[in-house]
Amino acid sequence: MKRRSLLVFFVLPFAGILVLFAFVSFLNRADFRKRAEELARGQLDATAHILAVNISHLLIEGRVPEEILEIFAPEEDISFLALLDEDKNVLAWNSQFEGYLPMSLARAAPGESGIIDSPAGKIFHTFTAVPAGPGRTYLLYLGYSLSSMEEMLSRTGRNALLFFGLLVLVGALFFHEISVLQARYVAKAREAETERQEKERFREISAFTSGVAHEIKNPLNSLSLLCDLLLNNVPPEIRPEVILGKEQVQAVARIVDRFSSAVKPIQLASETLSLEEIFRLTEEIVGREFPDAGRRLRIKAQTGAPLTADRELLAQALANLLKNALEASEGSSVTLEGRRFRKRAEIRVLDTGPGISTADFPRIFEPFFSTKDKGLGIGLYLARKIIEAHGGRIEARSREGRGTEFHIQIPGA
Amino acid sequence: MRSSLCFLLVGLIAAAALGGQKAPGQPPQHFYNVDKEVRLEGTVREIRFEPRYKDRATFLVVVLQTARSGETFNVEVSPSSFFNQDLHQGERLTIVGSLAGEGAVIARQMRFRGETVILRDKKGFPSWIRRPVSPKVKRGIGGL
Repeated sequence: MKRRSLLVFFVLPFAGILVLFAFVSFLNRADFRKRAEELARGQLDATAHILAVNISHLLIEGRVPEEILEIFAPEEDISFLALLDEDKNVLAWNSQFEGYLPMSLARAAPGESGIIDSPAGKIFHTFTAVPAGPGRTYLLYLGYSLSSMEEMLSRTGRNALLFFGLLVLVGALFFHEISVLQARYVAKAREAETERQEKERFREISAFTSGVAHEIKNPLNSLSLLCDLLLNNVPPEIRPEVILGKEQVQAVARIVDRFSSAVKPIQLASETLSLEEIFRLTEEIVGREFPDAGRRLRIKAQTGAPLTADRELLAQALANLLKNALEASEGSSVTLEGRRFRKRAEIRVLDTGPGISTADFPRIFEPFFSTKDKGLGIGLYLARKIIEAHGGRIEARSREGRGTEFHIQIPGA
Repeated sequence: MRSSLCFLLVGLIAAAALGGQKAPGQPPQHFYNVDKEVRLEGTVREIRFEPRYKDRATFLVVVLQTARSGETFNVEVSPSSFFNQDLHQGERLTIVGSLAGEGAVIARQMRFRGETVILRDKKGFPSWIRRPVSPKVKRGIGGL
């Protein structure tokens, strides 16, 4: 999935949901606040009315304002209470806060109300007419705290914010996972495409190589037979040249065989062996091409470690690795070691050569890739093919100037 | 420093002496009336600690003689615990507050020695109350 598709199909809809949630939440809160304020205003009006009726009765009975307000002292949500006469003189008052009676006498009139935003929270305040006897009307000034409502609104806001945060967090995690999956998918797709192209290329090369090998092998056989014939019929002074010619023919045949074996499917003839046996055979093969192999090779095999493998092929694979290592390390020693570890045989080939360059490293197992002047690029490819045919795997580690290590794992017996 | 300590000592003695007393009856007009804000400039003649509101701590009260008319006002400042400045007799003082009965002023803002102390907000809400009080009733004694 492309990054743009991810944005269009996932991120934008999710962002839309978040915006919608925030908008609906805002509307809900505004509506909730409005209703709560209406409710509080209704409650304040009702409280003021009840107080006014009671105070009116007490005033008509002849009680003094101080005494009356003593009875109706501010309780719980009532912040302050005051009784004013017709001339707007304060007759008595009380307040939860020292000296705090925030009214303006100039605005005192029945029905006058408003909200004060005090440090102790919002306070609704209102003036209510109180009949105080024939021809007399007092004013009751009442302040009603909305701290409970504020707290409720604040809690609602906190909850909405918390939910929003959770939604963002879940969304972020979701997109992170989607993004990781997408990255993996893209990487796998690229890998698969590269592999497909490689197989296609290899199939073409294989078909071509098989054809060429077949065409070359027949004349080579004839040439070899001709050399044999000549060898028996030429004068002795020419025999060395004929022998050389035959050797060259055989060398060409071997190269063709190697090409053929590289492109042919591998048929295993597995048997139970020990690492020591395999290493002995490997040493023998390498020794044919490297006379100093006995001196330079350090071979360490765990005694009696069993292994199920094709003796010839596995020895061939290890020999290919050792040959490369011996060539690369120019006179230095090369180590071949093996052990049994958790039902697997682990084999390592280490050299102290110049290492493989970063640019070449990804290609070392490719067929026909070689950094050597006379290399065919088959050795490592064939080694990997043989190891994988055994159900094992081979990995290389190399640091320029510090040597190279091949690590092989093969299922044991 | 020494004068501060003296002042604090006097304050504590006065508070202890008056702590057990009941608040004297205040006139009903003894509240912060936003319609009666005044600005007074004068000299501190006396510093007292008095209970002003029922069941509340003692208040710092300053007797201020105005520079212009020579009138004397009892200026209610704040609970003594809130006011942590040095103030001395004879100091020049500017006050913004509300007239609260005969010769009484509830201060909202004080300025002396170039420093301004905010005691209440513009509607008279006390600065020493920083958060909503508990539902428990605390009554003032203005008129009660």
